[in-house]
Amino acid sequence: MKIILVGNPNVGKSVIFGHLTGKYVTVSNYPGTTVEITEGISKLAKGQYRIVDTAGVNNLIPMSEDESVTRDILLAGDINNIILVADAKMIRRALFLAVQLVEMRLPFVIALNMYDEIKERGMIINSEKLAEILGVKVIPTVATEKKGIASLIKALADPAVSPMTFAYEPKIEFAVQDICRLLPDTTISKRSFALMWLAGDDSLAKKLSPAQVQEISSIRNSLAAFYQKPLSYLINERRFEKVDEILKEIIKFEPPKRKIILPFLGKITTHPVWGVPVVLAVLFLLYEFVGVFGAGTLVGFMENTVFEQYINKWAVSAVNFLIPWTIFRDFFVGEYGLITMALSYGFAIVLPIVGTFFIAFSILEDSGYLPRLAIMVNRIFKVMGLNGKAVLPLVLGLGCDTMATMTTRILATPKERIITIFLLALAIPCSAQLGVILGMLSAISFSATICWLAIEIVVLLAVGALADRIIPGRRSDFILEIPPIRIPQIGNILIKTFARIKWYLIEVIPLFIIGTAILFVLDRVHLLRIIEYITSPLVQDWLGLPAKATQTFLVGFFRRDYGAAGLYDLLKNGLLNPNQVLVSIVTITLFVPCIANFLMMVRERGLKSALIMISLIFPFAILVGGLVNHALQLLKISF
Amino acid sequence: MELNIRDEILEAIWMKQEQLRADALDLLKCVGPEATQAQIEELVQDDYLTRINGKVTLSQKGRARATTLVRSHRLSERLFTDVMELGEKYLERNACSFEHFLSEEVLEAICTLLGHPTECPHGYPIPPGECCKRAEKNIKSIIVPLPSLKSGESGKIVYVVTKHHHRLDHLTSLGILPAVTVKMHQTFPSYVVRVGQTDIAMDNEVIQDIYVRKIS
Repeated sequence: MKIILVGNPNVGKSVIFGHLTGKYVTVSNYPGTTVEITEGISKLAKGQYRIVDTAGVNNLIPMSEDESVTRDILLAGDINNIILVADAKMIRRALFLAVQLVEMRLPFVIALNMYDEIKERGMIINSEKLAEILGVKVIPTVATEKKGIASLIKALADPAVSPMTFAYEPKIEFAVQDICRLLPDTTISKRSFALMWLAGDDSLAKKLSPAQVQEISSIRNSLAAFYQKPLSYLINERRFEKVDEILKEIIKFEPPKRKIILPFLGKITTHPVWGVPVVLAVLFLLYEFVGVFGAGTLVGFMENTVFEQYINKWAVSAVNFLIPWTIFRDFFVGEYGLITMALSYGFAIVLPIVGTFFIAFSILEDSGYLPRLAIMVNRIFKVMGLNGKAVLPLVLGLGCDTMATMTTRILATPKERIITIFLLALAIPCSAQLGVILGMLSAISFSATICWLAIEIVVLLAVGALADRIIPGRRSDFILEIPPIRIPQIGNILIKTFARIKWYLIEVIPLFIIGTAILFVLDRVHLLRIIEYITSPLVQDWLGLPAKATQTFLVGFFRRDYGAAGLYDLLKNGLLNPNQVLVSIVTITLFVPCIANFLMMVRERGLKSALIMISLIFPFAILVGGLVNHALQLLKISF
Repeated sequence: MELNIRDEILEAIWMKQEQLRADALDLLKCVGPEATQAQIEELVQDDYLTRINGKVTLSQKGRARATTLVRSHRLSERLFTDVMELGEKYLERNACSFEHFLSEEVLEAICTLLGHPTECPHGYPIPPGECCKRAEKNIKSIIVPLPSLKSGESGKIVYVVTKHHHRLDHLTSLGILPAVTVKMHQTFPSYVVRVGQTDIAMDNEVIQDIYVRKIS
């Protein structure tokens, strides 16, 4: 038995899901965060249920991949009840979904969420009256504060199908009747199927014979010939008409109690002039928090104090005491040791940086700033064949490219997804890498930092623009809801950060260990030196780097940040001069993505596309790195 | 008269599908008993009609022809009533014979003369022609594209142009429909409008498809 959560994007389905199942899913103030179907088990009054969280939709007639997923779940049957989660202040759009559930003859209750926010706006909703009109239960909730959840659970106990009916104009009704006669029995009402079909969703066609499909298409075509407007439009229009009829009965407005600061913030963050300093200020704060505090203070403490003074010393003596064989001792605490290299890199260098980034990103996410950033960058992103919506995956990529690759599913067209995944793999350094890179750059000079940033941006734009030309398909429309600016809640930020860090530890630390183990083996059988020798023309002549840099690129494939950390080590040991630092970090930023990212690329786009992307990225990174090296030499620039 | 009868058959089926009239008997009066099975067969052969599960229905070609015929018929009725002031009893018969001879140019001229009417004297819709679409553009002077509003100004949506179905559906789902009031919040770097309690950001390509009547 299933209970399904549906609703518009960014209304709090995932929060309610969390309350019902005790399971945490990523929650944010950005439409479309839930890209995967999440399931959990919940024990309610009458036994155990599977709770299914779905991606937010604005219409049950699907317009994109994730919307069709939600529709398919509703069609799959075995539904005990549905929770239609509504953002109370946007009740009109929720009722638009409600009338479709009514037509489907599916049982549902409405959770009128964010009920506290309507009062500020001077809006009063008569929820009892709404319940009476629809004939289903309507529960006001404030999910983030857990208000109304108990009543919601109680309301779920007796599923009720709304008895409400409403008709379209006679011609459409005749066509619906004709189509209904041809349809087999399904999990939802035939009438709603017929309407879906008229609106252009013929996914049911697979279940019918070609003759039946032809007949239905002919009914649809002859109906469509009478109108200038598409049928989907007429159907939607009638549904909204019905919704407005209901709204008239249940909503009243009072003069709103004005809140001043938050709307003001909302306004200046998208202002054509003031928005720019806001972007810069946000980036600066991000840098201060992640780059200076995370990568500087915290890493310094973890590395110099926690690991070097305690853990490593303790580990060395423990290993020496426990293990008599040198080779196994080295495996744990040697140059490529599990503890001295893998764990100390993972926990001392990377974790503080990723951790601080995730905190900062959660704040940005929950405040509602990111969609506003999308407004600011939309025009620039158009150059790359993307639109402003791609800002979410690209900014998240600054935290973790693997996670960001997964969220590209919020983009509407395959073309946009491919370009974004490619750019993430190529030019967006993840936070751990970024932290190390910024640390290295600040050790050289500010002008080197600017130089690196300029190269990155030029590459990003140029490759994006080129990809836009080459990759067939179209860019989707930029239509994005802008949620209100909210003050992030500390609780939610902590939960979210911990969930991400947990994901990171599970996903990443094992790869660190595998990477180190492979290096250890390569070193033992002297393969490392052989690879260094073979690649030396490339590394030493073309890139102008010391042979030792080869292994950092090699490990870079296991974790990009890991590779960067290796470069950091070289710098500390005085093996790199400032020019070499710039060349090596330009190369490693562009270099192949880490294993985890690669696996995610395969999952999202298939092995073939992933391999093509990698085989483009690898020579490209070396090419650009070499060009920078030779340009610096030619122009006699040194930092 | 051979061709006329074929036209009448197409027209009869069109109207039958329109479902507005209980049956097509009125029209078959014009056609008379000559409408035989043979002629229907002939129409099927000429690809004006197709047969699905034994039921005869219009093909693409047939529907186009029938639409033009119905348009001429109803425009003729308007012409006879509004301009020539002919009585009801002359209306049907004359319109019936008139419709077959009107060329597209004459039809457009009549349509323009009458001011692009949308309904015939009996209240049935007149299928719009090219000239109607052109005329619609000229009325736009009162109705302006949404992006021409300055920030802070409001407008009532009059229509959303329907070139891209996908875009139209997207906008509709967000509640952007005729008769809804929108307020322009900002126009750069992207457009932001408020519809009800929702702020929606759009870029130029999208927003120029929305037409509004300014509210002062």
